[in-house]
Amino acid sequence: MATESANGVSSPELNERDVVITTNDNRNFTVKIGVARVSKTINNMIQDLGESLDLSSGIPLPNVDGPIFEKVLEWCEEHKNAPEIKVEQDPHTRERKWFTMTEWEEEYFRKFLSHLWDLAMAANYLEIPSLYYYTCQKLAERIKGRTPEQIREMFGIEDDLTEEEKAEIRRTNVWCTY
Amino acid sequence: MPSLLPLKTLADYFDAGKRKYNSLVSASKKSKRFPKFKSRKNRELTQISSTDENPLLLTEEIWSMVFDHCSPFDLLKMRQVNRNFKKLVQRRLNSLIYFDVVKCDLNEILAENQLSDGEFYRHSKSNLLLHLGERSAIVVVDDRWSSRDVYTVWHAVQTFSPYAHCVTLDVQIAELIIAGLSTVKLSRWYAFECYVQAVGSTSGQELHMKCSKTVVAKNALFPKLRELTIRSFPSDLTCLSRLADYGVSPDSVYNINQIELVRLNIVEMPTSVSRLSSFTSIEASRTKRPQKHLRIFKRWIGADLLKERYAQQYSQ
Repeated sequence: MATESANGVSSPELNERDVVITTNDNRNFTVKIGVARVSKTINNMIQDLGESLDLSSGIPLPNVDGPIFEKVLEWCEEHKNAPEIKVEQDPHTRERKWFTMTEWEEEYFRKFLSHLWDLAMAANYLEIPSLYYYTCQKLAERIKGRTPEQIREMFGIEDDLTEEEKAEIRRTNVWCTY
Repeated sequence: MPSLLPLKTLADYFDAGKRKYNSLVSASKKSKRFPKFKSRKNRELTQISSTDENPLLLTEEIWSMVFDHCSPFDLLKMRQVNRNFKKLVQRRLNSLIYFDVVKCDLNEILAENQLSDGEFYRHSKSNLLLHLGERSAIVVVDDRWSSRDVYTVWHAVQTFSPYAHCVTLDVQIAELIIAGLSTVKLSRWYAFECYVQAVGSTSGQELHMKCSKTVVAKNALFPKLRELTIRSFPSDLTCLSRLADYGVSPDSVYNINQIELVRLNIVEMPTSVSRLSSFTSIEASRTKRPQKHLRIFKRWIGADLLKERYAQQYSQ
């Protein structure tokens, strides 16, 4: 989080100010700067623009649409003072450990289950590590145990493998389902 | 084979002296998880929508993150989804360095009805656990394996063998691999194994399965192999001498010009340790004429030809 002011105002005071964020469908969201700063992308914009930041004319987000940004904001509100997410790895295997979610977070993903893909994309662009990692974990949970056909259907993925390629993979994978 | 070391300690042990590979691979890894903040002008060009100029880059990044959380069995199946998924999974497999196959009591790693602890994942039908990390794959098969487990292990070995640089095998697994490469049917080999167990360790030591046909392999099973470690208890040295019975030469396992170290690790069993299978005992842990078994193995592996690349290690 920035400690320098954007408009010559101290950081805690600035965090309480409102900023207008415009999404790609021209929807304006009036958000507290402290909440918007959960996104590293927006935080960097605020810092970069500094004195020239016009709080009323707003920050454009050409890559995120309104309905998704609304959901992202809900996350930011809840995580505005949360410490940076810690990605832990097993020292021996270097495998990433699973995150434990709070009840609120579980409920959040239950509510927006059908928008996980959009949330992951938005979290990636807006650089919100907590939302990004957690959404990816949720996506992994969703595809667990699914067949390739079900995964393709679920995410609208095009099947561009030839029959020969598929047969070859099936042959090498056969032991996974013995 | 009863294991003396918990698997996590084992993984630590494997890491010793092998960090050069990790540092090499890490150095070549240039991708960054999150994109750096760009100026507004540049940012306008980076679309996330379907009209993106380069949507795959972003998608791959996210999928790669999703794959981090998938079980290894799911991950292998992902290759069937589309070309992009296949490429992503293949990239992970290509970064593997260590491959270990262990035969021990699965309950020592996972509770009987536990499917996963986040590191090891239980196979849905066979008595087998699989771990797939960033650099290592570990297959664990139960001490009391069935015919189906034998086939599953053999296929698992074939899946990971093209990628492994450093392989550690329990001696029974080494015998299974050699039998798999031979003309012997694995079901027949399994029946032979059961018979050896049934007649007891003393008589079983002299039993051999003779193969009439010699196998000339076109390609080595582990084409990238640089370090091979075969781990054995003194009681299992008979498996070593049986490796020569199947008509399979070490060339079928690794490339003789490429291999840097073949290590035989004989794990002495401390008398205080009683983690033996129900059908064994301290008395049975002794092998008659261990030197004879070692001599046959060394002749088969070509220890003379390997010279300083062959090492025999005794540990507790």
